[in-house]
Amino acid sequence: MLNDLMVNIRNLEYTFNQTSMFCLQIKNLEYSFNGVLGMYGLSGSGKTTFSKLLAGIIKPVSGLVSFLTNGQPTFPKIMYSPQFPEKILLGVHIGETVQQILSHNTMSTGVFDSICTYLDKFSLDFDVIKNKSGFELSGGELRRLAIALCLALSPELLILDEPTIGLGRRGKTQLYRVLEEFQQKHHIMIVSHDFNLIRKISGHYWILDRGSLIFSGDLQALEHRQDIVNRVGINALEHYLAATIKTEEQRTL
Amino acid sequence: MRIRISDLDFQYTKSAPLFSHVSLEIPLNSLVIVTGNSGSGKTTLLKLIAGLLEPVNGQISFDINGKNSNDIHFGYLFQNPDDQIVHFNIERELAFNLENRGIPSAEMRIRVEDTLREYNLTDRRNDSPNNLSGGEKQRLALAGMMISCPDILILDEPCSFLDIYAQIQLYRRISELRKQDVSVIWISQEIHEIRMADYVFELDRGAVTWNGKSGDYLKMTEDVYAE
Repeated sequence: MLNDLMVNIRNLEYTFNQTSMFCLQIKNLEYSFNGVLGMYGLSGSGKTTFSKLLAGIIKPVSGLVSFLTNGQPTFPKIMYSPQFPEKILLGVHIGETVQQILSHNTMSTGVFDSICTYLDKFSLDFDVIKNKSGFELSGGELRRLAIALCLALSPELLILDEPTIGLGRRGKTQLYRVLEEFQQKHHIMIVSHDFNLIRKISGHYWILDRGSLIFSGDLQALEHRQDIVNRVGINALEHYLAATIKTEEQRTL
Repeated sequence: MRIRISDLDFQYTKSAPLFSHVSLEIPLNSLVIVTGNSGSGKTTLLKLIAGLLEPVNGQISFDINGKNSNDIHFGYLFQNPDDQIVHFNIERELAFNLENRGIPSAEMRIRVEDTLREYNLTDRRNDSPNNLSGGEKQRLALAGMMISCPDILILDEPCSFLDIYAQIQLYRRISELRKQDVSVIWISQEIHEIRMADYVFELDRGAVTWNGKSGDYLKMTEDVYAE
């Protein structure tokens, strides 16, 4: 059974430093997690920053992020799978890293078996990769490993930042299948600049633009906001491809 | 105009061999897509071609208008933009690529300005790349590669972090470069990108499983994509 979980955001503000031109500002937002939440935006809109603030990895300059379960304040277990898993896993010995994760999570049982099961679902064999260093795994393999580690720790809220990069067709299909099952018992938030991915697995969307949340709602509500669809380029690729095919056809004629 | 790979062996230390006795010819002056599942050796093959990795055995030679392989200028876009950004200032990062090639400073200034404008980075010229998002960093890495006008562009999943507008801009640029006969070798698994290509090479666990025109490849894989 899925736990009730609500996030409450008040006057949240974040900047990297004084010289940075970027500023994330989310005024007031209340959201009850229900199904997979998808966060979309163009480059530099603040997706990664906002998800790290939610996960508590970075602290806001001002404002508050709090979580509630059945109306009561709570501190849910959140796992964040990073946009660049290479930064964490590149130089490390895979087997030793897994051991370290297990030693920090002695309260949870069955984590190791769970890691192996998820790796298996992603066509990776722990016995094959355990003696390798991160350098010897491909970009897609590192990402699948990072996601498997997050899944195995069974968080209440799983945040996946650009989870499909480097995965290829087979890897994507495997990920969709795993998430479909995982969402029965856990809350999931997907962060991506690829709206087709978000549309495929999420029912509710948050859209960011230049540090502000400009939309929170489902597909039906988004269809009534063509101004937003155009502003963040949701159909831009389809339009471009249709136009190129037309030009090609004209040239052939 | 082609890249000839003959009897190539490669393995990372201690690992099982990735390529063994691989021979193939990659046509140049065209857009070539290298595709295949994760871990199939796509990135490794491109790094070998660009000379970033040394083969254990075998040869990679270039037939480009009689140019010596040492004179060929490669532009390489890595999977992770952090692997190729070296400066703490965006403008300097772009100029660095030209300094390395001994471009006169007057020309350098013009090219840096043009590139900043083209890649929508003018407002951020004095910013540190550390303040850029993943997608913006990839745009900077791409700009840094394009500014030096390479003979062969090698792009490792260039659109993975690019947002929709930057992707479309790249497609337009690639289509212009093709008219100028620039060679592009591009790792991709996206159907709409394979459609733009002339040739496709598909790898599976270090073996070349398809080699031919993209139209034929698309016909062959129609069932896979229809899923």
